[in-house]
Amino acid sequence: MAPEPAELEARMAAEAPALRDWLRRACGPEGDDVAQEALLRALQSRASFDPGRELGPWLRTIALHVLADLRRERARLETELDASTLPARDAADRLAEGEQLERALARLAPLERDIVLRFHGRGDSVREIARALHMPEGTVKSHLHRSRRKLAGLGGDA
Amino acid sequence: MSPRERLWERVQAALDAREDPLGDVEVQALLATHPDELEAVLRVVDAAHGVAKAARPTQRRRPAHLHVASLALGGAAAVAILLAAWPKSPRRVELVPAPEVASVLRAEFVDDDGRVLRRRSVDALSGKVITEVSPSRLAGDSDASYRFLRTEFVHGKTE
Repeated sequence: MAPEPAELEARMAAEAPALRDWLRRACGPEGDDVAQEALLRALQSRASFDPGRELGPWLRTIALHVLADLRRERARLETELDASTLPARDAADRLAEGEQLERALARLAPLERDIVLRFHGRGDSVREIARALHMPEGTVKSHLHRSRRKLAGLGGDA
Repeated sequence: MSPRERLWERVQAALDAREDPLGDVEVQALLATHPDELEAVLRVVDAAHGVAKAARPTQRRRPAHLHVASLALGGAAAVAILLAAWPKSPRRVELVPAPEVASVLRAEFVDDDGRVLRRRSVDALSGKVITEVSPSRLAGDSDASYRFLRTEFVHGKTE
């Protein structure tokens, strides 16, 4: 059952300084804005909070998603869409994201691409992929981990 | 294993388990001590979700027995709808919001002097933002403090 707003409000008020400190450590002064946004979003989705659980990790999870959304929005703005295309922006965004993803997938080695598409695209388990490709599960995971980093534009190894 | 390696191990393990790495308590703690990895972690999580999202409409796998089951259910539902609709005259149903049900949730951040820093009203049922007001920004003034949170439910009408 969702907690009463007043009860959640009190718990959030107590947790707010720790959340803000954590976000300042993680992302600098931007952390203040992210903290506020996270607290507001948390309040909006209070129905999904289990009062028996700790509030801190739940708030931090929301804050990280706020941050991810902000980064995504910033990247979107950097694509410099012309003002005249604004009504078609959603479609253009989806197209741009799709093209970007396609390019990133094309840069992967064929085996890595195959594994990523089987796992994230088709929903195959690591075990199923290992069986289909006749390789140990650990090898599948290594390829998967390396491919995720490459897709994100990072080096293959952490 | 260094904390950085541990962070990436946890992120990848969560993605392998189709869980949210950002909800992992250890990942959260490690990100606070290694903020320089935050950007990379967000990008990796985003990339993994991007592939899943792009594939979802066409490629999501469904076992064959589920296809059979859904066909059977669909057929049964169609028959049930026909039977229910056939002999009866149509009845009109109106949904009227009860006056005691709150429809808008208003939340505010106020500073120590009681000035409003930010105010947001959301539809209490859908969670959609109705109004958003930020008279002053807190970011940039890192020593300023704010008190969270004054909330209230507004009954029966939006702003």
